[in-house]
Amino acid sequence: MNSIYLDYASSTPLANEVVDEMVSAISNNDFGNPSSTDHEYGKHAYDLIEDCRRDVANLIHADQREIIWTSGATEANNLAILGSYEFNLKNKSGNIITSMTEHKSVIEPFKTLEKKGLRVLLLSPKKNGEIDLNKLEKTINEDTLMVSLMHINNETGVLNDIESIGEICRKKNVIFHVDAAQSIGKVSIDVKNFKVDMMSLASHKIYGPKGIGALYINGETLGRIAPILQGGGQERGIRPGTLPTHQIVGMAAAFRLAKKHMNNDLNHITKCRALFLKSIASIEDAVINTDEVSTFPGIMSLRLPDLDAESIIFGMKTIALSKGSACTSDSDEPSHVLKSMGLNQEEIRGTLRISFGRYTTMNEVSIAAEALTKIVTHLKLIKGQ
Amino acid sequence: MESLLRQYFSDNKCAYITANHADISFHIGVATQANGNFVKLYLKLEEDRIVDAKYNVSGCPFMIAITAFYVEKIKNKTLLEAAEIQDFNIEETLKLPINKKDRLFLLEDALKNCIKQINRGK
Repeated sequence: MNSIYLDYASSTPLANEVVDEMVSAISNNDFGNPSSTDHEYGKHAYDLIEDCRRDVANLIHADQREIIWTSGATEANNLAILGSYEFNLKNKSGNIITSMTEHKSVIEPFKTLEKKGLRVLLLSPKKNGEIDLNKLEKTINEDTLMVSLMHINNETGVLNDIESIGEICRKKNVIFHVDAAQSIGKVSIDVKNFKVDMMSLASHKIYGPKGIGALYINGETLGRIAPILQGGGQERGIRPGTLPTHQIVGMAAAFRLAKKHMNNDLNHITKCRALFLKSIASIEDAVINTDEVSTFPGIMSLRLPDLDAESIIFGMKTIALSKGSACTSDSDEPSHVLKSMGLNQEEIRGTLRISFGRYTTMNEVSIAAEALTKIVTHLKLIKGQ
Repeated sequence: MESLLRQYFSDNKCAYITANHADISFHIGVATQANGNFVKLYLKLEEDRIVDAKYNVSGCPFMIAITAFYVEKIKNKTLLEAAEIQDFNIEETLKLPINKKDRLFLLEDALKNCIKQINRGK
């Protein structure tokens, strides 16, 4: 493929170091079932996985016993919300709070709990996409049981103040779950400082493999939740299923690398963003849907007024980017995230998501900016502008 | 080989540009959709024959390509011939997916509105 990849928020390529470790885990005698610790093969896989658990825990300053492997962040979100309900909340009445800007893997489980009798309170974000802390504090009342809010938004890059949200939730004695699929490994996270009870982690957004993720469950405040799958005692019974050793090895390798590269990666993508914006300066009506200060620089929600993002993307044939989140780009439904920020249908239609990563080069950024400028000029010309 | 869809999407030789074409007397027909798609046809006639045709368009790649294709093909046709949109095999030629077929109705509406304008002037 000769395309320039600017869709890192959707997924990332595997880091070479990750590939090497995964290949080694598949090729060597690591195939044993980590639950079969009666023999050497099983014990070896078990030990390997526990080392990986420690590496993943390290990145968020957690204890390794607080990490539960899942198939990805979607499952982690489902497990956190539905598992908490089953374990802690099902005999209670009250409300649970989330935001309209959340990923569907949070919103849908919330809808499920609504059908089970809990009241769902959906916060609308501020115009810049951020969660309004005052509004959150006012919304939480004595009946509130759980709050689930994301760290970095997958469509807009908006970075929520998780530390302050955690403070509010702890003060009000409410379970706080964070979807950190987009932020893990990209910005510094300390679950104890952030007063988080549960946090969903992804691997493939940070140069690790797909099909593996984890849920952090705070051992001091929560300890455990109920499983949503049945049939095995793995992961302390919270998440049954044979653990995929090579996937876990890949995730841990990616997390170790993320720790090492975090500052460099952040500096790099900040430069990529700045160069891109400078290079498209001739498109005078281009607008970023969020505020620079509260946005993670790796994700850019860029609006070209009165144009159709589908045509822009089609015209930028050699650049891989997206019109909404990858999860929704195959549907014609306007983005629920941008809608909740007050954008109208036309504004949503003209919005692109451009996301930079560790392997983006400055040359690629320049080529992409030039391609965008060219297609916007073409579309405006045929439109008669 | 570049697909015909892409070729017509990228084409602008029949686009109406005010700075270049303002002094030509065109009959105009517009059609819009709630989602922001629009087609504006500019037809210059001699008798009932289209001697020049231009367009402005906004929408998805299919909307753009079918408009550019259609406007290129209707030159030197009569209005009656141009109105038989199905005769231009747009769907097959540009491989229009089934969920994009409503774009053809927009094109048809723009032409109908243009014909109305022409008839009003007669």
